[in-house]
Amino acid sequence: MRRVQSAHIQLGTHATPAATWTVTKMGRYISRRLLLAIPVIIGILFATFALARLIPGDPCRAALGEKATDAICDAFNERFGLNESIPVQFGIYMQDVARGDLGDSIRFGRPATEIITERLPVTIELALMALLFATIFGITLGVISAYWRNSPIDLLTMIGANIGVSIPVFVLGLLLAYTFAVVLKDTPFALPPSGRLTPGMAIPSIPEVWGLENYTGIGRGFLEFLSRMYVVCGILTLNFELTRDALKHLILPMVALGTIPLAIIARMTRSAMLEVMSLDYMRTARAKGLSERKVVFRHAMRNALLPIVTIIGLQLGGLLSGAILTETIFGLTGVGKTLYDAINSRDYVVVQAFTLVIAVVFVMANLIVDVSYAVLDPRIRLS
Amino acid sequence: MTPRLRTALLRSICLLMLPTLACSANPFRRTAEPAATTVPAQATAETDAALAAATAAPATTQRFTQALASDIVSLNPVLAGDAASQAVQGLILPRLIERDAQTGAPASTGLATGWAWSADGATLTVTLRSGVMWSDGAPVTARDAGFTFAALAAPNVQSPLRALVDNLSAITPIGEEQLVFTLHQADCTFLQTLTLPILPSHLFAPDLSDIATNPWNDAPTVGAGPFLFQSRTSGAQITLARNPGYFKGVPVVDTLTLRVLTEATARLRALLAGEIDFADGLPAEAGALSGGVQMMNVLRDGYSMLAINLADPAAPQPGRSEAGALQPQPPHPILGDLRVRQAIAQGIDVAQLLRATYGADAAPLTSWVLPTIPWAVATDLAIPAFDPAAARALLDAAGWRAAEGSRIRTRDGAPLALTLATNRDNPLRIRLAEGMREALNALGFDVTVQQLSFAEASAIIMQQRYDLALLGWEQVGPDPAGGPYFDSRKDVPGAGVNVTSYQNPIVDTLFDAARTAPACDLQARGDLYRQIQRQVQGEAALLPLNGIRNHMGIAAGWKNVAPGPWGLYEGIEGWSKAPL
Repeated sequence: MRRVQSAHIQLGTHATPAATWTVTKMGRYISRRLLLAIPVIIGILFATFALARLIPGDPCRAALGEKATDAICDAFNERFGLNESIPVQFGIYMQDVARGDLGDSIRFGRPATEIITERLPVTIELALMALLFATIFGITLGVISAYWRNSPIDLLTMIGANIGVSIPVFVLGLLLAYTFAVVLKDTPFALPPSGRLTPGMAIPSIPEVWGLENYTGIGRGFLEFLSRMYVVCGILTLNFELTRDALKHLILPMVALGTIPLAIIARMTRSAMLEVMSLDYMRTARAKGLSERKVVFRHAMRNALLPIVTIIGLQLGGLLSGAILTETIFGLTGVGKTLYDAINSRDYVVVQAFTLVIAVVFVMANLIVDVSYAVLDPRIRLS
Repeated sequence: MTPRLRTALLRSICLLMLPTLACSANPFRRTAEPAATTVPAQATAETDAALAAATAAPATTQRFTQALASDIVSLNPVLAGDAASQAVQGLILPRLIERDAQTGAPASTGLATGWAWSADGATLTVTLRSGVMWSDGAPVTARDAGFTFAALAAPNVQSPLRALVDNLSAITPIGEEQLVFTLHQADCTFLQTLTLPILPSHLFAPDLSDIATNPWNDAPTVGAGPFLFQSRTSGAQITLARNPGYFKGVPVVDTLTLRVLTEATARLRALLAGEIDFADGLPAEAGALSGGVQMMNVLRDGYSMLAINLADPAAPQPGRSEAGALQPQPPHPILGDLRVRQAIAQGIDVAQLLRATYGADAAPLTSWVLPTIPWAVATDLAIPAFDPAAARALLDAAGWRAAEGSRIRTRDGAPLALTLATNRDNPLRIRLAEGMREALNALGFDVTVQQLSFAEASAIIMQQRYDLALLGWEQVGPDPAGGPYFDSRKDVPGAGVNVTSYQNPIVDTLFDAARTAPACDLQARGDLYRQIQRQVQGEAALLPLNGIRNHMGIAAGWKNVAPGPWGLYEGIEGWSKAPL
């Protein structure tokens, strides 16, 4: 984004024609992509709406129990608009969504947006940690593997990467949880198998710690949102005990969720690095007498970064939406787990709301990846 | 690779490993292996001692962490009827009448010191104990109880539990300590309704206008149960602190944390890892594990059975006419004959089949009344003896005979063909059905197993369009009146629970008598239910199969925790952990 930002700064007083071109082109491109996303999201909403209603079972009895009488269920269906025909329900739903109202949860009777703001931070924190883990280890292993091409290290790394790609999340998650929580219990390597914090650990509110109790509006909401990301909250409130405990609880789910992306990133890094390292300019760099570190990190890695960043960006969308199994195994109540529970309890409203969130996340992640091309590689221009 | 690059890479890897090491437990501290402790089944003298000590002044700091199998819907008892919500509500709110954890019978260990029924059984007068206070200092009175049940019945309140008070006509508080419930008609099971937790009425609008929106619903900081609400992270955990003013004595446990862990294996792992102290709903295989955890099990409120349709599935009809008169129904062409039903009961080796299907988890039943209702179960009933020879003789006597060279019996040219319906999403039930099919076909039946989706199976069973069906009932309640599966008034195709179309005016009368017994005397009611069970068993209208075990585990060292089939928290104020 550096190029776009610097161009933007220049626009204020000394905007050059080239900078203006970049910004307007980019702005137009982003606007067009966002506009194109609208029919995609409407399509997803319609599909989710229809599929949710195809789930066998009665939402009233799922929410209130099998003993709920017909009279109670009639009142329940009326309250949630389930007595209307499906096209009418969809029309009402679209109107509400356009107003920013995602409806009230059938099971909990609370606004779905409220549930999203509670659960989304859990998934964002987990996904970012998993991505960080996957990126750091994936790139490191990919570089090592490429540098020592065809050596035992390369072989081992690629076998590991293939296993990482092949092993299902639920198998790895269960293995990790059993090994580190049960087998290694009472050893220095023991890690908690569930939850986000040790019971009894107090969770401070960032606005309160910062003396912003009276602060309201979107800013307050954002700070409360951050408060629910315990690692971030611990750092921002200088509560390192909280950070340590939250990190400790995140390690296993982070590894389980991040292993497949790690393997993908490692393989992509290796192949990109191998391609770059065979180019002539690498020989030139060495001939100039540059150190190996500079050759590898400054010349090879920088140029190999484009496909790696693409793959990392695409993984983010998947991680934010695909944590259902990880969250279920490790008892984390994030987006995936909530969606899973909502499907089981026929909570149509929550299913629709969370699917919408996931769709938006995917669209945004893809957009960011596309935009990042132009930023990372100056040769690429929007045309 | 140059040494500098190698060092740099090594340094990076070490740096990445740092958080893992920093987050792991102190390597120099090892926890002593806890000694295994047997949890007593009943409160003992030890409990009393612990209670006395607790009442005096708990000095230790003890934290109990329990797994919740699902998130709670609401902490307001009027607004949620799910098991998780009710469990937590019962920890922070008092109940008028409590339920004996072992027998499910109403017990005067709650707010009520006693109750009295009128002669016609339609009026119940409950007397409350005095001196019980809400945590904000207000007294707990009959007004609170009256308010709660009035809210349940109010048309402007969306309560999922409204059906519980359909029979309630009026609630009249008499002073602070007496409450009179007037019913439309006598019903002893109403006592079970009074096990609902009580709301602090002084915090709600008297006209019930804020029952769904009152801030107390989200943060019920005022309570009168053994614990008081402290905090809740939606979908994750609820933290409660002991109530220093609890009327049964101050709990020894200071902090009770309920952690939401919806997956059975996640609960088991957390328990084995020492993350939590108690979990139920564990996988059956958990019994084989130890790891410093005491495993136990009780029967759940539910069971499975082989339902035998007594009426013609081609033309299901209600058991009673619109005028309420008993309406004879065309019998099932095969199963309408008692001898065929008896042959089915004797031709299946139920005990062996259950062992083969459920292994050590099998809990064979002898009656549709669970053994966890000891005051009502007929203990003299037994699983029908497996006697294929007798079964064949019964079929012969009924005119069903196999022609030379044919396996399938016929009568008047019609084969002895039946369908056995069950839901395909339950592999154990499918295995059971296949076992029954084999056993019955060996007798000369031509049984076909219908593997249906749960919705399809439920539909044909409720509509009474089946021959044989393997089905399960859950949440039948601690009173047999809660599941009148053999009452002809409940024989309503599509809506009634009498799905076998069982009709017997004697049984109907016995059900009525058990529901309206003078003073709701448990002994008398139990005798009536036992008569019903014997009558139904004699007519082979169903084959009771398996109870459902609830596997639980508790961390070693906890004392006085005695979960029963009808409650976990009985005597919670006496729970304590022995120093390790």
